[in-house]
Amino acid sequence: MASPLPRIQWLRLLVAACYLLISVVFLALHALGLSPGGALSYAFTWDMFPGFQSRSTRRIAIGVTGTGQTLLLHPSDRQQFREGLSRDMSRPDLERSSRHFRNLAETVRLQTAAQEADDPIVHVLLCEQFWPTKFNFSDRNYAHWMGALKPASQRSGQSAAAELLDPPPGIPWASWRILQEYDVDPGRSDALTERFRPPAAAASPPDLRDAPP
Amino acid sequence: MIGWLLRQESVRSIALVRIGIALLIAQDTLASWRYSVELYSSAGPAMPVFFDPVAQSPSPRAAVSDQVAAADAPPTWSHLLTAIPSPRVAIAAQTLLCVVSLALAVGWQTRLSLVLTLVLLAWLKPLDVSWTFAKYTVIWLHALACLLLGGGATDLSVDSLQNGTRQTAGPATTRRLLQLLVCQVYLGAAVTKLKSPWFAGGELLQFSLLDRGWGGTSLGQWLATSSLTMRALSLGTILFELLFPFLIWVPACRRPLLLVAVLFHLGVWGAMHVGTFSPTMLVLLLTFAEPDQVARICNSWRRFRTPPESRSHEEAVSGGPPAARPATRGRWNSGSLRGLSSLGTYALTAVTVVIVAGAIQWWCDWYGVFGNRSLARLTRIPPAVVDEVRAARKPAFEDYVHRVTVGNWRGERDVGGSGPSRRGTDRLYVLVQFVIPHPNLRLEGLLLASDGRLAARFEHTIDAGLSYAINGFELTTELPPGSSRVILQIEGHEVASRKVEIR
Repeated sequence: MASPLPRIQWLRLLVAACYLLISVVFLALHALGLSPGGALSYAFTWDMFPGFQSRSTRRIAIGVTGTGQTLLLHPSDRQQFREGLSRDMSRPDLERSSRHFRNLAETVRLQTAAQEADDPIVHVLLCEQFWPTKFNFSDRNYAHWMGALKPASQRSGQSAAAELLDPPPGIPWASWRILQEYDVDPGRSDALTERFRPPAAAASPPDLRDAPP
Repeated sequence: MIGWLLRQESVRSIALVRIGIALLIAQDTLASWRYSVELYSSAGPAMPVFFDPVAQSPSPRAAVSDQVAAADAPPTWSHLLTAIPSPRVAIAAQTLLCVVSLALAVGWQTRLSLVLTLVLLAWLKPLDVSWTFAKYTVIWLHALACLLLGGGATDLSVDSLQNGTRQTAGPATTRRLLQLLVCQVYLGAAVTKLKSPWFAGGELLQFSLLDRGWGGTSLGQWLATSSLTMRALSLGTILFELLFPFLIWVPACRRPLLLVAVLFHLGVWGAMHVGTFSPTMLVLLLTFAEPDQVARICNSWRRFRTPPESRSHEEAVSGGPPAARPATRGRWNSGSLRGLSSLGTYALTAVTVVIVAGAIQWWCDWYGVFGNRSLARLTRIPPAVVDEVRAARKPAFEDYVHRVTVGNWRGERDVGGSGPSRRGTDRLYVLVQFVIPHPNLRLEGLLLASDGRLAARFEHTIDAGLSYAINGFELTTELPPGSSRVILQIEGHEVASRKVEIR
């Protein structure tokens, strides 16, 4: 005669049954297009390859100061993580929906507000460079795919502006668009700037921005 | 069903899964440890998956500022709700995750390590939607939860050496749940692909391979140059993902299906840049190997490694299939006191590593958050950059064209036949694939005869939702033989030109 199961085994079975039930429910909801969204749904919905992008993008954030100077908020030293095929994509480039781009630009602005206190940023532009993904093919693969040579790169020179505006190497050309632009709330910034003022012990690096080349 | 879940069997394969998953987590965590402040802390700022700074606050700027302000301030409600740690806490948590995942791999305080890995992984990784959080993170969480349910799989562990007994058998619950996890991953992925109108046609796979983030390796990009290969691979993937969850339970199909699964994941690994997804699935596929076979293979390895004089003792000890066997390393046998001291050593090790790692981050201060290093001031850029961006020039019409193929036979979404076309019998087809989205476009095709005159033309209005257009020319005998040219124009601008041989 079979001996009764110990309590721990029953508990194990109960948890396993609940887990399987939840999995089946979410699979069914996913199949019917009724996934409710949210963390639990995400954890039980296996939606690899949900969509694709027909364009590749690169993003920059620009701050405009009260006197009309333009400062590069992103990319900067504050965003050092790089990934992607060429290890040249920063987090705003990797995050496709750009939901957090403004958050990131604001963080950098506030972190540097003390340094820029004499001429603070009053306006921010979140910009995106985009190009068709077919340009991501190497020259040889592009010719194989399109039946024609890849167009030559239209680079605009060696200036600082050109370095920023030109597309990544291997991309013939790209277009720009503004994702968002907004005025900075000065009252709120003043209170927060104090928190990001660099500690007194740290020596500020020399400001080389206006130095002759 | 109960017997299927609770049958006693060797836990060796589960122990291997524990080791594999833990090593993958440790590798992933170590790789991003240098960037802990940027990826997971409020000074980064973190980019949480389940928190939208714009949607959650009536004023987006207020939400941003709240998060930023929380960097060095004591925890606030918003801080706790989003659970975004300060830089110091983020570094400590990330380091601790490295330590406990490595401890899990070697089976040191296995259950505690398992719980800590699960908690830290579930907290930290969803704070970075940009890269380190992906579907394989969720698979890890499921796998760890399944391991926890089964008691932590303490075979092949430091714990078993310390306690003096080796757990060699246990209920099949964990292995069954992990098997079902693999099946639901495949089935869910197949459902997603079936729901997408773009997957079966190969477009989704090709555009994914062209993605600069998760896209293809050199091999993947080379494969992406053939639309036929893309279609075949896409259909093959759907077929495999649909069949695996059902046929894997048929004993006759198991081995060939496992072989296909291993090849499939090795292929994905070699062709795409999808992080540790493939290794994770390869580790989980171990659960489909017969536990006794896995144990036998491990024992053969042990026999190979063990000197003959000590082998006879081991064989005498591990004769039957009991649930627990005395450990062969006698020097570890000293009961619960050693276990207690091990917990102390464990905690001390974890704290020491966290302190050392924190000190390294504090000393290097890569992000200038500890006051040891000041980052350079923001770069001043020429106002011309803003002018250029503001100009917002529209993309070239050519940018809307993803592919142009000319040939003398056509399928639903393809055109082929690159040889010379014959007058009187053949038609010349021109396929243009457009990227989505695109505006309404007027596509015009011109066929220039070998003598340079315009022999024929077509015009086609392409609505914004359309991604393919196939048009054609009837090649009459009036067309002179030789090298003709097909020119494609959008809104009057030439976007492509192809030479065709007419006989």
